[in-house]
Amino acid sequence: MTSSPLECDEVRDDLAEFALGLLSGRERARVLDHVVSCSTCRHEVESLTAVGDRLVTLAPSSDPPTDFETRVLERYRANAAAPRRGRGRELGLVAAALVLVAGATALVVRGPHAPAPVAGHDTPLSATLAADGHALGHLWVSASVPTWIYVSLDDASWSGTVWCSVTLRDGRTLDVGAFAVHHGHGAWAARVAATGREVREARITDVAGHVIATATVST
Amino acid sequence: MRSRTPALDHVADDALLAGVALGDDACVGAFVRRYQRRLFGLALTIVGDVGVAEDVTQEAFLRIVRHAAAYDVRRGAASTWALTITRHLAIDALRLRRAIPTAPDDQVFATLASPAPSPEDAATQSDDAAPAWLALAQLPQEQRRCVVLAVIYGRTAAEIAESESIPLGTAKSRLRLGLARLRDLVAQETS
Repeated sequence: MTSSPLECDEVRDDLAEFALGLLSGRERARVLDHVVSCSTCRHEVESLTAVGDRLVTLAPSSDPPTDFETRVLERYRANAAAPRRGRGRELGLVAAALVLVAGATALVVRGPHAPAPVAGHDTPLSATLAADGHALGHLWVSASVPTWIYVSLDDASWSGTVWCSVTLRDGRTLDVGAFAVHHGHGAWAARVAATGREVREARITDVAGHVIATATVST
Repeated sequence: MRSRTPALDHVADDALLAGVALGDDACVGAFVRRYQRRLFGLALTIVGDVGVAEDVTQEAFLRIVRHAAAYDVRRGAASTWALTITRHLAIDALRLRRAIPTAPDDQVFATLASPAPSPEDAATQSDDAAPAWLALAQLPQEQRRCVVLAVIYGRTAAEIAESESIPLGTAKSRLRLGLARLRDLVAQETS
């Protein structure tokens, strides 16, 4: 539904500030009241917001105070370790489904048994995903338990669904899951029912079973 | 204890955020290392106080971790997403302090808002910022100053009007016209 031109005129000069999150209190409420019912102004706000988001990349970098990283991680771990009734609901909502992390290009499977934030300090194992000697992406296998596999495909020249499986050092093969690759790019993470040290090789195939890339993991 | 996983420092942003969403603190550490300078730099630019900027940046990282599962690469780069979260928190902090910001006098503002920014300066920007720089450089200076003050420094139109000694209506219209022009330039660039 589109509001009358008069209403649009009344808020037009405030849309930029609204889009940039600079309005507060009554002003914000007034503009919001109009925008929710006016598709024209709503579109304007969305497009101005997108422009603002691009410009924010121009902000200068600056070194934070000493040990900033340590303090952030301490707060993160304290939050992760604290009992949290509210977060249980949040996790439940997230865990209920596949979570689209990178649009159509990356899926993270976060099922009901997805891990609580668990520390994994060991260095992950890494390997190059390659085909015919050409690097197509990277693979990382966490050394923590449970084991997670992270895959990034950056140079596959096609779009479609791929299957990921791993071969363990005892010869067993485990399916990791199916993932989407769009325009040569895909990234995902998924849990593997093995320890990181047991993983010998990862294989990416198309739906017909043709091998797209493999990675050999050295321990 | 600081966890250090050099291999993760080379993981693509979206894969790293996937790990963050899964609660892998090695990924969280790698993400913090990768973006702490940019997020802190933005927070400091807006709030102008090191202590407040650190609080803002810490909160931004915690929020990023909390919402990493909702990150959608189709809506923008991870850097943009993280910076936008930081920017909103910094603006909130600025308003809470009820500080009246003065016109910035730093080199960044001088460069971004100069009468004739050089396209070569784009080369000094990070990869994801160069296109924004090139588009911004095409704006008339008075619009560019308003846009930079609002976007990078979190200034309201009223604050811009005061620091630029212009009527409020002029500040609002310069900001709107500047952003609209940038939107058109970006659209041309991507078409």
